[in-house]
Amino acid sequence: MQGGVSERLTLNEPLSPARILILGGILIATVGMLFGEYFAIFHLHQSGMTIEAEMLNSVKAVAAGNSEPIGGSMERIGKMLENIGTKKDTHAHWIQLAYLCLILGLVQPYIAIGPKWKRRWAIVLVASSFILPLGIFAIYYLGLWKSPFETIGWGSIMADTAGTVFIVGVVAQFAGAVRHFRGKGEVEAVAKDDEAEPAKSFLLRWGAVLILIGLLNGAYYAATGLYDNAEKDVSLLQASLTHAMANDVPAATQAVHDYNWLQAEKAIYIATHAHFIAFGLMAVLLAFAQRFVFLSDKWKLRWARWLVVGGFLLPGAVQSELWSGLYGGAVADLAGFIVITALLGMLLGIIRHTGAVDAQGGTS
Amino acid sequence: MTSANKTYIVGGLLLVLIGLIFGVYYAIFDEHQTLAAMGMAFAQSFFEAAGGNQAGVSESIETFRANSFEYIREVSFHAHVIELGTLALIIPLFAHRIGWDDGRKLLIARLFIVGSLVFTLGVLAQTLAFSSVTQGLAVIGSGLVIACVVVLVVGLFK
Repeated sequence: MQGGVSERLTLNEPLSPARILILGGILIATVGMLFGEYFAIFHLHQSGMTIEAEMLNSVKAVAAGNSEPIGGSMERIGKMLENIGTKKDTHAHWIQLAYLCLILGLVQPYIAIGPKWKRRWAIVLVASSFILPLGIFAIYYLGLWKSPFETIGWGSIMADTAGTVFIVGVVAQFAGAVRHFRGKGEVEAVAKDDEAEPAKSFLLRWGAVLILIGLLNGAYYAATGLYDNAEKDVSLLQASLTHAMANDVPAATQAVHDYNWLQAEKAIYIATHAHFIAFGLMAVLLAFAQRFVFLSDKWKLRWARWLVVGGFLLPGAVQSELWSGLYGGAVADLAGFIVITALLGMLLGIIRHTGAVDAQGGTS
Repeated sequence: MTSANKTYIVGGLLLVLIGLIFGVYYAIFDEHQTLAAMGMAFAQSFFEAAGGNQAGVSESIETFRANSFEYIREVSFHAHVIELGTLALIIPLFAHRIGWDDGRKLLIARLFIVGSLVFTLGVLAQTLAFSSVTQGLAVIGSGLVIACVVVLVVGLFK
């Protein structure tokens, strides 16, 4: 992706669309990761234990032939699942939308839209990327409060509206890309890929390895666990209720415990797969943001190594939770902070670069 | 720009758009309803058990299973199609570092985009018909994507 004929250096202009998207993308990714840490530390494991306790209450009620406590337990399980589901989605959507902002920032020279509209679209894309997950987060707290609809509340309306705006923004970028490939619009300069930069090459290679490990991990789980676990899911639920109906509470309790462990096991495999790929994508994208990082090569490489170490450690520790339990979870949380530190280090370098460019009137 | 990179960018944007549009449609018209049906079936199985109705328990669990099956695949389609589109958009940034001829690069680009579509549509099609054909599509598509990424990673380290 090299070559270009114009003198306009899109990426180095003060507040150019590319810089808005790249800075916005890294900031949103950092917010998404911090939120992920908060979710992992304060909600994830606690919610699993609460759900198991509520299921045990229900099977004991079944064994006693008393359906009265079941309604309350089911309501609490439903609320708990909604709570962790919306928080997980908030985390995932912030990260994914941040990546899309970063990519769109990097491909701006290939988007043939007028400069004024390009900047407006960049602001719209960053703003909608930040607002959409906030809407998802609000779903649990707002519920159907004062909603004009029967099934969706104001949180969903906010998320869906931001999602629609983001889609319109991507469609505009797509149309701009098609225009560019047809040779229309202004041709902008594209910075050359500096293959000698150590931090960039390091992030690129190891990011690609992380993505590949994530894909292989997903394929392995799909081949060996996905269908079997779906069957086990149903049979354990059936077993817990059958034992409870026969008043065999110890066997029902064991089946409930196994059922909840299976949910944890599925979540561990999916989280490992998703995080390997997410950190791989992050490393590859940040490889190309390195020329905006205003630090010495030594420090750039340090932050790059730190990010890749965290990128390997976090999903590895998540996978180890299968046998190490909460110890693996603690290591994963620590690894999350390693990645966040590396992101903040790079962000600091980008802000320094932004300040330097602005001070020179966008001519660097 | 090379034909391979055009394929990645246009294909990647299309994949991302498909995923985003499906996500909004799904969130408005299907997700809440499916989750509500799952929750109700799950709770109903306990009520049926408390009433001693084994057939009712099995029926509720079957409804829970069917809704759970649909939910997992629809969310999986949304997530994977966007993730693979994102990956397709990233590859052109470093594709020139891989020292193969343009013809081979274009072939890999086409296989990656086709593999991504076949894999994700295979997953989604399982909600309409769970068969060896739809499972096979998902396996072949994901296999193509993985093979392309292996080739790209090897090329980067060469």
